[in-house]
Amino acid sequence: MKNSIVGILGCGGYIGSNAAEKLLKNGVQVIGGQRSDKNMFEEYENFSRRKIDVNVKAELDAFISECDIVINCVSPSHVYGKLVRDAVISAGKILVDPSDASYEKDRSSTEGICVASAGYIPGLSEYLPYVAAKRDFDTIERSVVYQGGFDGCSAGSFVDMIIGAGNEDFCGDAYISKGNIAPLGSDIRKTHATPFSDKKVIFKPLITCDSRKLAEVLGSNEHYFFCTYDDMATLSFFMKLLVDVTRHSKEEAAVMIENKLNERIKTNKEFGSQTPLAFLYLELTGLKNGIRKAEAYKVCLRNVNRVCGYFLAETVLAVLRDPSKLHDGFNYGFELVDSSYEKRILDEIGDDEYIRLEDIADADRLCIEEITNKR
Amino acid sequence: MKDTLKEIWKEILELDELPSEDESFFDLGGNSFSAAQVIAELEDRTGKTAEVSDFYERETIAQFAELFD
Repeated sequence: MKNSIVGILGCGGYIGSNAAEKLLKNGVQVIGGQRSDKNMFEEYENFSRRKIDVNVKAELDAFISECDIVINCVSPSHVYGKLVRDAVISAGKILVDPSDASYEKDRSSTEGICVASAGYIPGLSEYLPYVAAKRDFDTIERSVVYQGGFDGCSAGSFVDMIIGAGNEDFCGDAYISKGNIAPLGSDIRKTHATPFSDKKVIFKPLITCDSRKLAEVLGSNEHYFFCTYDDMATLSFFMKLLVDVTRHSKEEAAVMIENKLNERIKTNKEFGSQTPLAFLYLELTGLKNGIRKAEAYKVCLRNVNRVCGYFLAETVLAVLRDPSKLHDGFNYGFELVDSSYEKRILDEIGDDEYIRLEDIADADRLCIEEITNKR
Repeated sequence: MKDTLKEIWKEILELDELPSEDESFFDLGGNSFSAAQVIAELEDRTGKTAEVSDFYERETIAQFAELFD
């Protein structure tokens, strides 16, 4: 697909603009679709711009008809995700999506060719344990992903995140045991010192469709995913928003969530004002050459939007290099991206950012049994 | 309050019958998310509220109801 044209809807946004920049630097022909007239990427001859309102079907269809691959970064995805997806698939084009919010729980029924889970979470949070496991282990017995930190997202993305977390595909207080979801309690009053945060944090277990897929491809007997929170007040705030999602329509919940976010920002000036910093921390236990071992890996991101946009672009580049990797239906971004990208991430980020994926000393590892209280 | 809590627990935890005052919320299948659901329902029905962490301090209806004495 060397001469393919990649369209990016939401090209002016945090993630879309970073994805566009990387694709343009790699010589890909990009058409940027955005609501505004704002000029961008004028220095690139391989970029052209279309003003588009995705709510106008004729405009959306005309944009899609010019492209071979369409990346959907239009926010909020709970409003536009399925609308764009349906239009791209009915036009017979390939859709690439940083999130997986607009897909059914049963992904085997996904029509067309869709690549999702190609952002940060989901996306990078599956890719990194996936490549580490393939490189350092023959078999995985236990896999753990810890995620946390403030990621400086827009209000629209925040609403998407909460609505996504409140849907039926997410299982709170759970882990994956031999392929099945099993209950897993953690005492959310307890805070824990970690190797990745200055503050003590609360751990909250969570399982998503992407966690299940990762556990499946790793062949992991036990798979855990933990979100971390700085304090009980923040966790309670998120929990109550999740309840709003279950009690109201998506549209009503979206308004309530945005209002409550704004209220919280007004009353708690620290909320959302921190320097963006997010982290992933991975622990893998398994066998290599018949010897049991455990390794941990730490990733810190000072600009999640950029890393997310770059991973999204890397997914598209992987598709352009080798389209035979794609199959009909739902494709996971983390399975498409080449393992060598783990090293190249280091070359892509600025001086004020860093990302590390390295072994951690035994003494620094987190003890999962201390975090959880399996009832 | 105890009767209201029993009804809410039964509904949220999808129990066949009303729980007793001394059964643990977590032993009945509750978790942090269902705790948040109980709080939302409690607010709607009584105008009173609690925190998710209260469920960890007060796992039974008898203990939880003391918050509102």
